[in-house]
Amino acid sequence: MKKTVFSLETGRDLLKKVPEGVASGTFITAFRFDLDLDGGSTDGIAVITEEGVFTFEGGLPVLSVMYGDCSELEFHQLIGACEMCAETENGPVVICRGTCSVKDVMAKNVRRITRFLHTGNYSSDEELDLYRVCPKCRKRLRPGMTVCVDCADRKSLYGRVLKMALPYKKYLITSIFLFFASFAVNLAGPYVNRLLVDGYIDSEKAKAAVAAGQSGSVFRGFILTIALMAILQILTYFITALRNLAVMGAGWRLIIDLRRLVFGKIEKMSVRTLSRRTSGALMRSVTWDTSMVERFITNDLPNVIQQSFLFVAVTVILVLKDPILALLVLAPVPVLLLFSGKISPYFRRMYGRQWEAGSRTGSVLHDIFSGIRVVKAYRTEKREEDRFDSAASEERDISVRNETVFNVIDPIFTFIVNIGSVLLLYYMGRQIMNGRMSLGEAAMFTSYASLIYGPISWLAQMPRMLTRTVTSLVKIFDIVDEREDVQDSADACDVDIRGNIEFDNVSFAYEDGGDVLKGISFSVKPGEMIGIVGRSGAGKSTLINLLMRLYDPDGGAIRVDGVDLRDVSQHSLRSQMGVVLQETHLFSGTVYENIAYASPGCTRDAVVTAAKAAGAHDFIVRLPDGYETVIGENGHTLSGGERQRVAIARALLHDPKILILDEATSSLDTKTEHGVQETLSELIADRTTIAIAHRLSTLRNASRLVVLDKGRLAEIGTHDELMKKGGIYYGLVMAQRQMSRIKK
Amino acid sequence: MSRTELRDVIKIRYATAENAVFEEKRGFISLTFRPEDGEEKTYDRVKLQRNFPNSTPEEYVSVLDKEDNEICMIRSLSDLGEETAEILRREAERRYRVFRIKKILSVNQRYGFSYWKIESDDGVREFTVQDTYRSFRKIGGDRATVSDVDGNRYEIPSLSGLDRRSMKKIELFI
Repeated sequence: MKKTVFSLETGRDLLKKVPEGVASGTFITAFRFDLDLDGGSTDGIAVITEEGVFTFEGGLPVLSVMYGDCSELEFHQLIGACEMCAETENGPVVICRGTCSVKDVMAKNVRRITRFLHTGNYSSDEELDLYRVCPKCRKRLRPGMTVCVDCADRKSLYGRVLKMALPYKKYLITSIFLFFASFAVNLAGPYVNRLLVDGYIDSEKAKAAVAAGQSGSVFRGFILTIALMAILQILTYFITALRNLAVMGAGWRLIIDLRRLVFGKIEKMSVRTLSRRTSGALMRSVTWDTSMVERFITNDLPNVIQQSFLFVAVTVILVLKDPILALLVLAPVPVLLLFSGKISPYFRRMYGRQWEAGSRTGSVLHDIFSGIRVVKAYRTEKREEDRFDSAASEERDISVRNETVFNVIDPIFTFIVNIGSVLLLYYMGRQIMNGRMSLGEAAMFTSYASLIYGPISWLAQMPRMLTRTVTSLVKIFDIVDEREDVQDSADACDVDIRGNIEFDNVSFAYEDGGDVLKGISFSVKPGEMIGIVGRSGAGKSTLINLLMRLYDPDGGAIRVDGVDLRDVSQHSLRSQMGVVLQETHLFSGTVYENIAYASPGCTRDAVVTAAKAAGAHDFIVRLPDGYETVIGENGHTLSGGERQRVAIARALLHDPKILILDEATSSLDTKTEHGVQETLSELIADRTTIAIAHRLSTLRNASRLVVLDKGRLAEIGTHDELMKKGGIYYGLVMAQRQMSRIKK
Repeated sequence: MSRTELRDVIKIRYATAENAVFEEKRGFISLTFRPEDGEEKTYDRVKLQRNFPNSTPEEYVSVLDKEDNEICMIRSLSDLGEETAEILRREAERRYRVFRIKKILSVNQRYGFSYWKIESDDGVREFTVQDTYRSFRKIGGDRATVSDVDGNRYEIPSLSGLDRRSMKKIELFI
């Protein structure tokens, strides 16, 4: 088991290791850090109390910073390291440093203190999602996972899979039954073979009978035995075909169900949970991992059963018949296992490299093709050709070498088996010559011997196969078991929204980094249009994300008509909100389908009206197939402004009580924007609207403006009030006026 | 008519021994800078950002202010005199924490992750690497870096200088 350099004890455990009486104030928590102020390794503990931060290295106090002396605490991400700093009257101070191994803990503790200083409350480890360790091995969990792969209980994993397979037990039982049938047929083959040889081909009795003129009955028996062999072959064919059908029947049903389960779960995940995982990894889980599990249930598992039975049965038969013979047949097995155990990792590595080289060639090609216009513009065809050439040659060299090695080594396996057969022949020959074995028995043993090597090579693959399956299983169940963090509360109700919105001391932070919103409070009356203004990174989009309830606030509450958002069912909330986001996503489909996306079953009249209102109608009529023009991937490409107008039409058609516009008209030219603005301002009259815009002229219809600065609410008021105040908003307006003057 | 060169339009402010004074105060570097086209200003705390960390870590180093805006650029640390260069070098070492790998004790791959145990210039360390093929990068002819799941960085200063047993453990990733 891996030892971690940093034991992952929680803050409460750590407090016990600090000398008493050195840190003042009520203890909140403590965490470890691993670099000293000069960047060398150390064994440090930082203690956080309600009065300040105190650091210790090797049990000795180093630094104490009182909150009263500093204006702000900051977490800084360095490269391969991180630090916690304080801004004091005498300038900045570094409190402690650490490698990236402690950055999560350090960043979240800075967040915890900041929030404590703002609100007087501090979040628990659980709320901060801290110390995500495996309860068993104490190792930190992998990013984006809630289960420890190393400690996952394999038995319970397999148990859960089998439970999943239960609905298809009809197919599975059939297939297992057929596996046994084919197993019996397999074992019967060599036996019939022996009957044939001993009864007829090499039988003194048969020869004597033929000599005595009774060839008829002998031939009948001979033909019957041959026929029996043929029947066995036919049986094998039917059994195999039926088995494959049963396996496929179960397989496809299972894989679709599994994908539905995983996909359904992913769709229910909150944005916060989703952002912890990459879409590539999620897609891989839906496609690859599910197919791995399907393969395990329908193919690997029955095979394990069948092959082990075959192996045991053949061994038993051989041992019963002749222990020495059995020993000879099994003699190459350890050599074979040893050899394949040594060689297969090497092969795997070899082919892994070949695969890498292949994928490199592929990405070089992809890179060149997608930039072909640049290549042509700068006439670098020759250079790109060389680049491709060198990637392709590398792949060729690796492949040739691999094939050479493979073709030299692989026959060794056959050779080892053949050595066994030679020994076997020697022994059986002597037994036959001594009259202790019949020719038929010899033929049977040879067949059994060849039967035994199949399962062996197969069983040698087992560990790898099981590893692969467990990996996929852990990933699937990790998704399936993920708790939903933005959940409807038990008594969540449907609300008919009037449009009252209240932000009450709202704080929020994303997964990594400090608070993006710090104690935001303001309220909006129904029908008001609120413009949100601030520099990029001020928290504008975050505010909207919270209102849409893509995330829940970490502190404080958001209320709609006096009801906490967490008590409103997500369905009823979102069905009354219309959103036009900065990045407009259009699905592949027709323009019509995209506008009607959130309002299925609406009339054409309504769609065209909404399009007209959004200023989209005019360009749509110019498209080759009008409203039925296919857009998105493999379809007509719309410009940024056109996409935005489609998105606005979508939101307007939805007829929301609360309209959210996040840079909704930023890609429109000034004239179109003006037109859309006029329409919107009439519509907005009885809807609560929240709009973000960089171009301040977009917000001239706003009833009030909220100015955010570094996550804090800096100013709020009407345009005139804020202009008179001469603060941040005034500065922004002036800067933009100057810009437009220059443009003129 | 003389052609306008790009460098006539875009002026890059370079720090030199004449116009910039770097000082070390309580673990921070402060800068007093007097640009050609502006007034002298003192910055409490500046950050050093290597623009070519792999090939020339001591050349083209940006000096950033608290908000990450560039104040000026240092063409080469040695331009500023040995004493200042030493201060800046120390600061850069603190900001860029890279463990130099001397010996690779073990690399185990499991479930798509690899677990490393190495001997570094700062003692034995263990770490976990995700997507090893991509996290392990060869730079130049003879150096290599690897980053672990947390974002810590490790460097092998010379692949050819590595002992045979260590080399064997990482061969696959090269």
